[in-house]
Amino acid sequence: VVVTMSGATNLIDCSVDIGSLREHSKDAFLRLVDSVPGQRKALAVDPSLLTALGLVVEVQSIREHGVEKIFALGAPRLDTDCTHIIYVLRQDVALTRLIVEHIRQHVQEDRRKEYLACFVPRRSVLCERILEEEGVYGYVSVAGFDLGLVPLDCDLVSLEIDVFRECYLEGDYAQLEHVAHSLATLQHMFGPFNSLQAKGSLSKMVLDLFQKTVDAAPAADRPAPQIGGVILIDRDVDLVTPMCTPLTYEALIAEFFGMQTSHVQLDAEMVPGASKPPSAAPEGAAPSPPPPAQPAKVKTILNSNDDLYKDICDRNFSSVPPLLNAKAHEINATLQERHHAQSVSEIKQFVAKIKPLQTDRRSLEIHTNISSKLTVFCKSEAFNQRLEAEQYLLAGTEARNDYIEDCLIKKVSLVKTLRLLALRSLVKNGLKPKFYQSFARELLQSHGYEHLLTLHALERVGLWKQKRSKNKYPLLRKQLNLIDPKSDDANPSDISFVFSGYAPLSVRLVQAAFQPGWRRLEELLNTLPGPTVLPLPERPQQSAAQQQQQSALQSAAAQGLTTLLYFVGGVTSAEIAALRFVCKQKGKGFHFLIATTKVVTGDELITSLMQPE
Amino acid sequence: MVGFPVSADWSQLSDRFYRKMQLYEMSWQNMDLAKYHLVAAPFGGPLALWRDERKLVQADTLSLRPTLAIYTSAGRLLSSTIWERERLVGCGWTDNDRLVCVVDDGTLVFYSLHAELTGTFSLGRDVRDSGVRDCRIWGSGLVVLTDDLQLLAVTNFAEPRPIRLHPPGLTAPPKTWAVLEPSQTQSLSVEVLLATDPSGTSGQPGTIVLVTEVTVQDQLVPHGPFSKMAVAPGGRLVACFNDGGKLCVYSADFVQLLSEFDTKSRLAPAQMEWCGADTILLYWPAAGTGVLLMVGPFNEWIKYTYDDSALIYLVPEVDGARIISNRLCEFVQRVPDMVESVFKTGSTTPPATLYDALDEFERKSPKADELMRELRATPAMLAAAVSGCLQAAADQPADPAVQRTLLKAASFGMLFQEFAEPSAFVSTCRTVRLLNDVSEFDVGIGMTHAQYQQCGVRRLLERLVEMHEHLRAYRIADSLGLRRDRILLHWACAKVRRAAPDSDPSDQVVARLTACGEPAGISYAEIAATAYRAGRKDIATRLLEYEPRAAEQVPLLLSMGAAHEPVALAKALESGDADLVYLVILQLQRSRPPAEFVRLIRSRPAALDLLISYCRQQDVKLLKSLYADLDQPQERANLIVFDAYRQSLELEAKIAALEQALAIYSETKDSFDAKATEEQIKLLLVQSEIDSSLGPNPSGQSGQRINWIGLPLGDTLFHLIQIGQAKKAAKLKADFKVPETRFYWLKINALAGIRDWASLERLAKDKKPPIGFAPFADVCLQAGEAREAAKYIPRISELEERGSYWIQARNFVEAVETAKLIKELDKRVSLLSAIRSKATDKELQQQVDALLQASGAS
Repeated sequence: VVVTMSGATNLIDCSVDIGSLREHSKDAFLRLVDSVPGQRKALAVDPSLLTALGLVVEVQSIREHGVEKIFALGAPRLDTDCTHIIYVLRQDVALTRLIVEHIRQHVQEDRRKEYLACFVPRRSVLCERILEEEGVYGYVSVAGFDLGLVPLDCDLVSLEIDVFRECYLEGDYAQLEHVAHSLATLQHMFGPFNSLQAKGSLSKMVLDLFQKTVDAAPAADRPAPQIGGVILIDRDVDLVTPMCTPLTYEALIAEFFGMQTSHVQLDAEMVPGASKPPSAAPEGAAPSPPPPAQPAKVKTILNSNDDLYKDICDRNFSSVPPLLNAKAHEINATLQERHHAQSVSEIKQFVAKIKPLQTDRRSLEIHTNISSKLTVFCKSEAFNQRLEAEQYLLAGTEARNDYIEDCLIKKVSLVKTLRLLALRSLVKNGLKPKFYQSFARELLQSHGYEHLLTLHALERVGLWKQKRSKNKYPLLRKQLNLIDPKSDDANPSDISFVFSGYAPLSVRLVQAAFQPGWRRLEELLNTLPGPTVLPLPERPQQSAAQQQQQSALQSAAAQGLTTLLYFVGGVTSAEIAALRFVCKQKGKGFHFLIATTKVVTGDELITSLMQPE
Repeated sequence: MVGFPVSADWSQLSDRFYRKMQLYEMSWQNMDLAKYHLVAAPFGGPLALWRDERKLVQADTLSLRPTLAIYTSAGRLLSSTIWERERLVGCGWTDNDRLVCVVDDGTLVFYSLHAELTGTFSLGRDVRDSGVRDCRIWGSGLVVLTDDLQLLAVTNFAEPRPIRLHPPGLTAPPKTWAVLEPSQTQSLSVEVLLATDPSGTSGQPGTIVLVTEVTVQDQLVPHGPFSKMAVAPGGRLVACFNDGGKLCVYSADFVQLLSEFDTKSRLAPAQMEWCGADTILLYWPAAGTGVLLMVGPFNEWIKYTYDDSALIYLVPEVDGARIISNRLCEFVQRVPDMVESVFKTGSTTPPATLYDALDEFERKSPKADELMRELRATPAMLAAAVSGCLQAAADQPADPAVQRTLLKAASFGMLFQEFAEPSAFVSTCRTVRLLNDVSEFDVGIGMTHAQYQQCGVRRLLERLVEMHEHLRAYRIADSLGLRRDRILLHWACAKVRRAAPDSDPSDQVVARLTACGEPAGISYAEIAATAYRAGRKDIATRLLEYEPRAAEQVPLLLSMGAAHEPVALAKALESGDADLVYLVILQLQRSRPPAEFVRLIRSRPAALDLLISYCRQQDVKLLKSLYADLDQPQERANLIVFDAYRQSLELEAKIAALEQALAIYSETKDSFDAKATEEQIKLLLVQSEIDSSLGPNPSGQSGQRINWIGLPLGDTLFHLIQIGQAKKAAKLKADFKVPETRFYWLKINALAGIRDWASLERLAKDKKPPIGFAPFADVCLQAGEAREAAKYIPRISELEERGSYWIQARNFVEAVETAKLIKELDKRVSLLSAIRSKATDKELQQQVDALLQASGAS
C-alpha cells in the first residue's frame, strides 16, 4: 500500500511556504476522491506515482474519504468487492490498456463497477482515445489531477517525471507544459517573480509557455512575493556533472542503493525495528511470494526530519564516519547520565531526554550501517580506479586513462562503462575517430550488438560523439574555475568538496549569476549549448560604476526573497549539496528553492537511454 | 402606516400562523388548466404546460397539434414549440432551468426557456423497446419506470449515463411512486419508493418497496396500500395517503410513523405536496368546489375552497408552496418567524416594540421614548430588535410599503445603538431591492428570501440571462460586485444566435464586450461555437480570431470541417500544448488520405516529433513508412532493429529484419552501423550452428542448458572455452577480430570459473600473455587458490605489484624478498609497511621492522 506519510518532510524552516503547496495538492486529491460517491471505493495507483503521492496525502486521510483499498496498478486483474474504482495514473498508454482490460473482465463476469480514470497531470487525448477505441469509454468517467511539485525537503520540490528521456531523446516536449504549469502555480501561490533567466532549449520553451499562461490568467489579487528571481537551467547545459561519481553522503547512497523520491531500499537488517518487514508489496500485485533468496528490503525515507541525516547528507563522505563516531559518544555520554542522576528532578530531566534519544539512536544505527557499507564500496580498488580516471579526465591530464579500456575488457557493468565513456566524450568534445570506432566495437562485442541502438541514443542526447569541432571544455574549466586542487573535503571553503576537487559546472553558473558583470555572464553562457534568456540590464552600461549595478535577480535576493532554481531534466544530489553550501556561504537571509523535474543519478540518466528498453 | 394589519389574513394551526398571498394575477387569457399538465421550476421559476392527452379536447378550442409552452410564474408566455415526437411521458426542470422532456421511446429532450432544443439523450435500446410508463425528475437527474416495470436512473444531467436499478420484481404497476434524490439519501445514490398494488396478481398486501441500484427491499409498511406519496424537502420525511383515507407521515427509512391523520375521504387527492418542512397540502378537484386541505404537524387543518371549477396546481417550494390556478399565482407558507414576531397581534417582542416605537415617533407621541427606553435596557435587546426588523423586511415579499416601514424601524433603532454595524442593513436593503426587482410582473420571478438564500444569487442570475434579461442581470451582478463575464458571454451568444441571416453582429459584439472591459474572462471561442452551431460559419471564423487561448480555438476549428484543420494545427502548435496537437493529428489522420496526412505533418517539425513519439508507442508501422518518406534511413533502420529485439522474434525473422536494416544502413555514409549489424547477423548464424551441433550440452558451471542464441560475443566465447571448445572459440575470435587482450581475459576467467587450473597454467606457458600475469594471479586468489596464484606471482614484472600480490596470497616471506629487490626507497618502505600491517608472524615482523629501519623509516 502507499508508503505512510509519517516520514514526509515536516517542512520546518522553509523560506517559502511550500507546506501550502502540499496542502493544495492534497485538497485537490481528496476532492477528487470525494467526487466519487459511496463508501466502498478502491484506489488503483500508477506505481510510478505511489511514492510521490504518499508524500502529499497520508493513507489515513485517503481512507477517511471512503477508500477501502489501495492497489498498485500493474496486475492484469483487479478483484475487489468495492463498488467504485478510482484509477490514478500518468498519461501512460500501457496502463490505460490495463484499465481497459480490467473493465472488460468485470463486464464479462457481470461485476461491473463505477470507474473513474484520473490522469496525472491532466486529461489526455491519447489515452482517452484508447478508452474510446476499445469501447469502454461509456463505463468510465475521466478526470485530471495535477500532482504538481512534490515537496521532498524544505528547499527541494520535484515533479518526479522523466523529462530527460522524452525531451532529449524522443523530442516529445509534451511534459514541458506541465513544467510551465508548475512554475505558474508557484507564481500564483508565492507572488509574482521579478526576474526570469533561462539557459538551454527546454528552459527557453518552458519560459515561453509560462509567459503564455500568465497572459491568459485573470489578474487576481496576488499574494506578497516570497520568490524573487527565477533561474531555469537545462540538464544538457551541464551533462558533465551527472556523469561524475559524486562523493557526498546522500549522493553516494543514491549511487549505491538507488534513491527514488527520497526513499531508499535498505536490507531489513540495516534498519532497527524492521526485522519483521511490513508487507510493503501492494495488494493486488502478482500473488507470487517474493523469492526467498533475496534479503528482505525495507523502504526507508531520508530527509531533514532526521536531524542527524540533515547534518551529514551534504557532507563529503570522508568526513561522515568521524561525525558518526562523535555522535555515538555523545549519545553514550547522555545515557551515562542516568547513573549520575540522584535527585528526582535530575531523573525527570533525564526521562525527558529519552524519547529524542531513542530516535537519535535509531537514526545513528541506520546511518552507521549505511556508512559502513559505503566504506566498503569506497575502499574497493575498482571504485578508486574509476575516481582517478574521472579526475584525470576532468582536469584534462592525459596520463592514465586506460581504465576505460579496462572496463571494456573486463566487462564492467554496462551503465558504469557508458557513463565513463560519456564523460570522456563530453570533456573532450567527442572522441577521436580511432577511439570512437574501437570503443564502440568493444562495447558491442562484450555487451551485445543490440546496444548499437543505445549508442545511437547516447549520441542523440549528446553523451557520445565523434570529435568534429573545437573543444570548449578547457576554456570553461579555466573560466569557471571548475578544478580546485586544494579542495578540503572536511572543512570546505568551496563547492568543489562535493566531488573532491571538481566544482559542478551547473552550480558555478548559478554562482556566476550572482556575481557582478552582466557581459561576462552572457559571454560565458553563450559558450554553452542552447539558447540563453537573460534579462537586459535596465540601462546600457557605460561606466564601470554601472557595471557593478545589481541585476534584478541580485537585488531581489538582497531583499531576502528566495531565488528559485529550476533544473529542467533533472538535478543530482551532489548539485543540491553544492547549492546548499553556496546558500550557507552567502549568509543569513539568502535562500534557494530548488525545483526540478526529477532528482537523478548519472546511472539513471544512462539507464533511461538504454535500448531496447 | 399600513392601512390594515399585516396579520389580517393569517390563519392559525395550533400555535403557528400560515398565510396565503397573491403573487400575480395571471396574464394568460382564457386558460383552462384542466386540459394541461403543468410542471414548475422551483424558486419561483417558470412553468411548462403541455396538453393532457387523456383529457377530452374540443376540436375547435385547441390546435390539434400538441404544443409545449413555457410561461413565467406570472403567466407571461416565454415561448412555445410544437411537439413532434412520440408521446410525451413527462417533463421537469433541471437545476440550470432547462426543460427536460421524457419521450415514450426513452429519449430525453432538453429545451431552453426559449424552447430552443439544447440537447437530446437516449436511455438506450432496452428502454426504447419497452417504452416508458412514467418518470420522476429532479434538478440533476431522473428515474424512469418502463412499461415492463423496470427502473432506470440518470443521476447527472451534465454527464448523463443510464444506470439500471435493481429489478423491483413487480408484477403490476405501482399505485404510486416517489424518488429520493442522491443528495437526500445516506448512500448518496438514488433511491426509489414504490407503493405496490395488492390488486395485482401478486396478492401481497400493499406496501412500499425501496429500490436502489443494488438492492430491492420491502419496507413492510403496515398501513397500505397507498395511492399518493410525497417526499418532504430535504428528504427526511415521506407523506403517504392510503386507501382508507389516512394521511401517514413516515421517516424516510419507514422506521417511524410520525403522524396519522384521517381525511375522511376515501378518494385519493389529485395532488398532494409538502408545504415547507412540516405541512402537507392535499387537493381534491370537484365539479362545484375544489377542496384544498392543509394539514399541519399536529393534525390540525385548514380548508380552502376553489370554486371556479377549474384545476389548480400545487408547486412545492423550500418554505411553502405555490398554487397556480387559471386566474392567480398564490403562495402559501408558514409565516416567517420575524414577520410573526413583529406583526402578531399584541406582540411585545423587541422587533415589535421597535416597530411600534417608530410608529409612535412618527406620530410625535412621547410613548416612543418610553418604548425606546425599554429596548435600550440592554444592548442585546436593541440589536435583536434591529436584526428582527431587517429579517422581517426581507421576509415580507413584494410588499414595498411594509418593507420600507420595517427598514425604517431598523434604521431608527440603529440610531440608538452605540456600535451600529451598517453592513447587515445595507445588504438587506440590497437583497430586498433585488427580490422586488425580479418579482416585477414582466420578469415574474416571485421568490421569498428563504428561497433566494437556498437558490443563491448565481442561479438567479443564470435564470435571468436564460430569460434574456441580460441588462437586468448585468446590473445586479455589478451592484453586488460579482463576475459579469458569464452574463456578457451569454448575451453575445444569444446575439449571434439570433442574428438575421444577412447581418453580421460580430463587430457590435466585440465592441460591446471590449467596452465592458472584461475581455480576459470572455471565451470568444464559445461565442464563435454558438455562431457555428447556428449555421453562421462566417461569424464564427471572424470571432475566433479574437480568442487568445488556443485550447479554446482548436476544438472548434476542428469541428468546422477539413478546410479549417491546417489552421487548427498551426494554432495548436503555437500553444505548445501537446495534447491539442495530438487532438489535431488524430483528426487529420482520420480525415485525410495517408499521403496528404504525412505531407501536412511533415511541414511542421514540432508536430512531426509528436507524431513520431505517438507512433513509437502505438503505431510502429506508420513510423516505418514515415521514416521512409522523410528520408531518414538511419532512424528507419534503427526502428527495424528495435522492433526485431522488442518483439523477440524467431531467429529467422530476426535475421531477416536485421538484413533489411543492414541494407538501409549500407546506404548511409556511416559504415559502422552496417558493420555492426553484419557482425550481429554473422554471430546469430554461428550461434545457431553451435546450438544445433552441440545439442543440449550442459555448461561447465551449472549444468544448465546454455541458450546460445542472442548471447553477446564475449559471453559466447566464454562459454565455448568453458565447455572445452577451444578451437571453435579461436575461430570465432579470429573471425570477429576480438583483441588479444580481451580474449585472454575471457579465457582466464572462463577457466578459473570451472577451476581448470591445468589449462590455465598451459595458457600462461603457451606464450607471454599480453595482459601480463597479474590477472592470472587475480583469478586464482579470487577462487581462494593461493597455491595456484603462487605460480604466476613471481612472473609479474613490476616488483611493487608482485609484492602486493604476495601479500594478498599471504605469503609474507616472498613479499619481504620482493621488497628487498625494490630500489626506490619510498616504494620499498610503503610495501614493507603494508607487510608489517598485515603480517602476524612475530619473527617476520621483527625482520620487517629491521628492514624498515635500514631503509630509513622508523
